[in-house]
Amino acid sequence: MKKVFISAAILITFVFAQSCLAMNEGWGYGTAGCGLGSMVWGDKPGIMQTCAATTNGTFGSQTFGITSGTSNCDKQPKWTSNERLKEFVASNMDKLAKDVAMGQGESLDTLAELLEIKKDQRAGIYAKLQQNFANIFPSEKVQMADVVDGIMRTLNG
Amino acid sequence: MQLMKKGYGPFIAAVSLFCLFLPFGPYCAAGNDSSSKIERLIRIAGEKNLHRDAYWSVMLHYKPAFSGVVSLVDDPKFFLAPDGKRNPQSELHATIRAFYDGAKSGDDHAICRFAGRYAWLKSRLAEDDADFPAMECPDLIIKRDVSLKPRSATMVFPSFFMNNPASMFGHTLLRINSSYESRLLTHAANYAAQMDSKFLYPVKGVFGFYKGYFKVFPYYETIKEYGDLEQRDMWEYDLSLTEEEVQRLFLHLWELKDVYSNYYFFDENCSYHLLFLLDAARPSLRLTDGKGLWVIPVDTLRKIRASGIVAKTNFRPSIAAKIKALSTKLDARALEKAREIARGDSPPAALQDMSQRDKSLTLDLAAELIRYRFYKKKLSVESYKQRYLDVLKERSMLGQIDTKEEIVPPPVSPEEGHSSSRLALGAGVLKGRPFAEVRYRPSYHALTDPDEGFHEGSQIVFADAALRWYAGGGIKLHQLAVIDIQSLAPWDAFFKQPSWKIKTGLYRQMTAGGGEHLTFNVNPGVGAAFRTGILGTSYLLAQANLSAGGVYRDSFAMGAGFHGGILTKITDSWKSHVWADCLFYELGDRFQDYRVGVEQNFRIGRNDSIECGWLWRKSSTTAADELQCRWNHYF
Repeated sequence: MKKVFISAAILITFVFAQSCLAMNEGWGYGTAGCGLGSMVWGDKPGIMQTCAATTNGTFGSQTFGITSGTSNCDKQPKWTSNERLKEFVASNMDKLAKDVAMGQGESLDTLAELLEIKKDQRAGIYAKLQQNFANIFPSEKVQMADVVDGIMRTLNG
Repeated sequence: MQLMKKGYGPFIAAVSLFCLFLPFGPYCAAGNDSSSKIERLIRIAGEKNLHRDAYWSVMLHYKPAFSGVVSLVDDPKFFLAPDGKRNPQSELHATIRAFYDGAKSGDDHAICRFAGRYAWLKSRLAEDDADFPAMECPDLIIKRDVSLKPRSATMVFPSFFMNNPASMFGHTLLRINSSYESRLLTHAANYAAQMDSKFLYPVKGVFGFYKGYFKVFPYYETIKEYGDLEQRDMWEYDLSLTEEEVQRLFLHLWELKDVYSNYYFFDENCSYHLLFLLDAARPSLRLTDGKGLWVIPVDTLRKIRASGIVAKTNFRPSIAAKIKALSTKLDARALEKAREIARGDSPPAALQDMSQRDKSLTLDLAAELIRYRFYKKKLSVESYKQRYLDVLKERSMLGQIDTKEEIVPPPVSPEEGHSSSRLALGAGVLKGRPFAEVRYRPSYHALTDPDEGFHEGSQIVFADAALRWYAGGGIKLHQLAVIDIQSLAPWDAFFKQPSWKIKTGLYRQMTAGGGEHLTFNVNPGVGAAFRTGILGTSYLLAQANLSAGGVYRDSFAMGAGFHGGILTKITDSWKSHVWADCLFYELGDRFQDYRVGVEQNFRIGRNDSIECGWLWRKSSTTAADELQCRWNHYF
């Protein structure tokens, strides 16, 4: 009987553990990007991660498919020095690509806010970016700096 | 070094030694002037009883212990007094002294390191001391005024994983919102255990062997983690905390940076520790008071809701939820096309004969499917990138569609579901013998319980105990289901996952003599579930059962068989579960066991339901039937 309860207790715990801890195992969890917004604390105590995006775990977890690893920070865009914009684009390439293609979405709104585009101008700018999707995301080798430059060219063009 | 050479070494050593023996030895360097100030502040703090102040308890995480109080923080570097973990007063004195420490400066100084305590003590003591010590904290300023810019706060609840009922307990984290309008430009504070290995982690977790730390990440990373990788829908609860309160919250979070508390799965877990941040923001909330034996994330959500600080709720669907929502808007042919495109069997341009709207939605769906397949590791990075961009390029040529088409309708939020514990009172007839039943289950959700706020087709039950009183037969333990988990995940074109169950505990088994005996059972099963139109979800699992008890020959019986059923939601408040079960025992004792059950649950309020069931059983040669009705109350 005692054994039954002990094994049951372990099993319960195992199950319970899934809820709170799931995030901490399995996939490597690192910070991403190379700007101020990612300068927070996490991962290993005492280590501030700035451009420490490494391809940990299963994916280049910070940028997923389109770019991966530290390559985000190698190349700097010509058109902007907005750190937060660069960091946002580097870390959200996949969703941004989708939103640009659809002409709407949360990451596009975020981009517009970072570029300080007035709300009444956004619809027109989204449409313009959508039309220029192929120039902004020309191939799967595209990097953050190319995307930012592509966006800026479209806006200024 | 210069001094040493000239022979001052022994002198300095003597002075240092002298300092050590003074009451304020380590702060000797501060000099006489500051030590009289320190004395004065300590006296005033004593007069004001600050060490007994509720806010000081929140700052230091003091909770009542067997004698006095003890801090839940376990990291020695969080305390400035050697006995600070148990002595609020000496910790307060040491903190005041540390503020005058002349040996340190900048971010290492106690004023910066313990910025939350400092801000509070200053607010309580500065009026009595015009030159209260101050310090520049460059790192703190950058984190606060450049990175996080705390303005408001949001509680975030990533709900269940698909096909994992255990995750129904959820998880909570706290988002610190900046002055940006976009929710993506915020940061999330997450309290989590630092785990070394997966081996033994449940055991270590129960006994607090892991160290829990607060971590802060950009919120979009949190979304990737939960919403994309783990396919968990996220609920966001905007809190009506003022900017000043959120600044206090930030300062306390800052103090907890790199500081650990031992992590206990059941009570001192991710959800409980977050509450200290809210109490630090607004002490009158007292959310950390009255912790029970376990803390379930969804219950803390209810607690926060009950405190009245939730201003607005927002639903953030996972990719899986987006796929489900999009697939309801398209016909079968378009769905098939989306799948072909996602698999790479069909080029994204091959949709000529569709309307603009259908084309757009089909490509949106295909793009989400590609992302989903990639996160599920069914697609390599290379094919993912290429296919995803191909689809998006095609999509970009179609222009915008109505935003409403993209909205995923939010389900009932988790904290609005029934409460975690259940008490049931029932009566019934077993083989003509009437009985009364009392049933108690501390947590959490059964298949037939009302679904609102839970994951349909999921069951997670712990310690479901039923006591029965039979007319003229005394009280009997009818069952003790230690764990009873089921996951019925409908198999469809998009989500191909097995359904499964694991059940263990003490259950009644009928024996050849016609008697009923309590036996210990372990009963796993695996199979598939399907959506079957108006019938709801139908499922069939192959199962095995190991039954142990003195009633069997050789004390055990092991068998295999099937378990199948139909789970139907007839109306919003009427749920039906009809099932059949067979087991053929071939090892140990040999016999066959057949069961058929019909269960009907009627929801009569958020926390009440009436459940009626009929059960027929046949073991070898004996058969029995049972009819029962009970009232379930959730609390």
